[in-house]
Amino acid sequence: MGMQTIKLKSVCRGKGKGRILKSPKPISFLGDIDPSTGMVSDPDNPCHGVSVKGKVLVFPHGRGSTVGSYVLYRMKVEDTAPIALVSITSEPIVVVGAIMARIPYLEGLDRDTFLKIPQNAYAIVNANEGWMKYEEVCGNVADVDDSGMC
Amino acid sequence: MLNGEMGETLQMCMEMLVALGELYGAERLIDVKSVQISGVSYKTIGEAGLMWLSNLEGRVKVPSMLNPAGMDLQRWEEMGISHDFASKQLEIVRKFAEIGVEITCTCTPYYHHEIKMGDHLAWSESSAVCYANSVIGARTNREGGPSAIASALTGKTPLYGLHLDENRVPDVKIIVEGGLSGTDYGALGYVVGELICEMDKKIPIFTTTGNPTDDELKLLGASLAATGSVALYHVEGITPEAKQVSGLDEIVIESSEIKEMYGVDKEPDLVAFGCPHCSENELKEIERMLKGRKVKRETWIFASRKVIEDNKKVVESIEKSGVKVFADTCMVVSPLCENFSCILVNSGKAYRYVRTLCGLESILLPTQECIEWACRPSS
Repeated sequence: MGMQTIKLKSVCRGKGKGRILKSPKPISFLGDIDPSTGMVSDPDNPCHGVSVKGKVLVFPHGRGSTVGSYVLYRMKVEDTAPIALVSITSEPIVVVGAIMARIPYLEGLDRDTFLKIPQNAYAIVNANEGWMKYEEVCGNVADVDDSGMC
Repeated sequence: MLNGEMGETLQMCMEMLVALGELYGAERLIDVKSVQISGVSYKTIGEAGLMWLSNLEGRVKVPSMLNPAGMDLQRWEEMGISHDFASKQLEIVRKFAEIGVEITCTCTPYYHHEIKMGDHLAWSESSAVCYANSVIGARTNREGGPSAIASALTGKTPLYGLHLDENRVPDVKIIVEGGLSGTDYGALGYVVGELICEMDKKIPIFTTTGNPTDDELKLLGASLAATGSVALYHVEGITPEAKQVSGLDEIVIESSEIKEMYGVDKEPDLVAFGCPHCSENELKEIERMLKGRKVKRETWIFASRKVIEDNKKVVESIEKSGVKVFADTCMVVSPLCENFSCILVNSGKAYRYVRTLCGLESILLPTQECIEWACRPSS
């Protein structure tokens, strides 16, 4: 069905492409993700055990401690960070973290689009121009529970 | 700066301030008079923070100070700090010094740089923010560590929140029944912070028959910030921006409720003062209460290096009693909690954070009773 294009607001400039990892739960980069591997460590998150490394991380919004900003930077340095971030709303912790780490970040997804975006889809993020394209592709890249939103 | 013509660090700083400004609906950036940066202790920011700081370039544009570090930068061995931690902590501080930040590691930066009513600041530490806004009438939001650094290197902050008149108006009235003094104000802040947090209120205005000193207001604000995320409060007839507002929800607090906070259910193995860091008057009060007696259990006081150096005689006299007076750090941000199990404090803020951030037990008592515990032999 070709690529879907969504116009979004750029929080941190840059470009990236990769598979989508969609977290139905808000994410705290301090505590919900293991920075040394990139694995989602929050046991209540359906993406538990899946790595965010190199993924386009689609999530509702950030939460938790402000130290999360530094953690996002550390993940970039240790090469375990997402390639790009896309969220429904933004809050200061991830905004600051993305800018510190220079990770392309788009925000302003509406909830319906968030629900519609398929897990594992292939995405291109252009946060210089403020858009994301995605298309569903065959093959299981990440082993994520298909129930619920994730 | 935004286009990177002045270097990568400045570009990143401007991007951060602009992005935060957009997030909070700021129309523009404004100049700040001074900056206070949190995220200094290695215990807080860890390897990730050190990595980021190491790549910063440039020089601060306005006087910039630091929050407490994880140890006394000179007497850390006496505190029982490990060599590994100390070397990381010193590296962090060195990095800040390289970009021109003053190595005044304190939550009481207002004892270092005079601030005035109406000054715009970019400060981080919650009690310092509360003091600057409430007691002085200066204007600052509660900045995160990185955004404060961005303000230090650019001299700017986005114009939103507490920088604007319309966001400094009280939204709940607190009527205090009965007299309070000293630690009671910290206990009051603790109770009120929890209450108004549940009510989703942000800016309390207090009515009290008392006449709190600046030190007591410091304790009140520190607790309000710790339990209620309060960054500005008013006290009728006392603080500079207190104005009558009609139609506010009212809460009555009896002084008996405050005293319920005090109680000893376990023997403390450390008595600690200086959250927020002690003022000259607080040091003198402790000296008076000690009356030259020797303490019988570990007793520590935290203050800024400047206040300690300006009050050498008082500090010497206190230390003769066996009390240790440390600079640059405090009981909450240093890893010293690993060596103790129950800390007796005279601060509502420390009472909270020793439990939640250090995972230790804490006891809250008025200063005089803390001193008596310090002088009582361990059983």
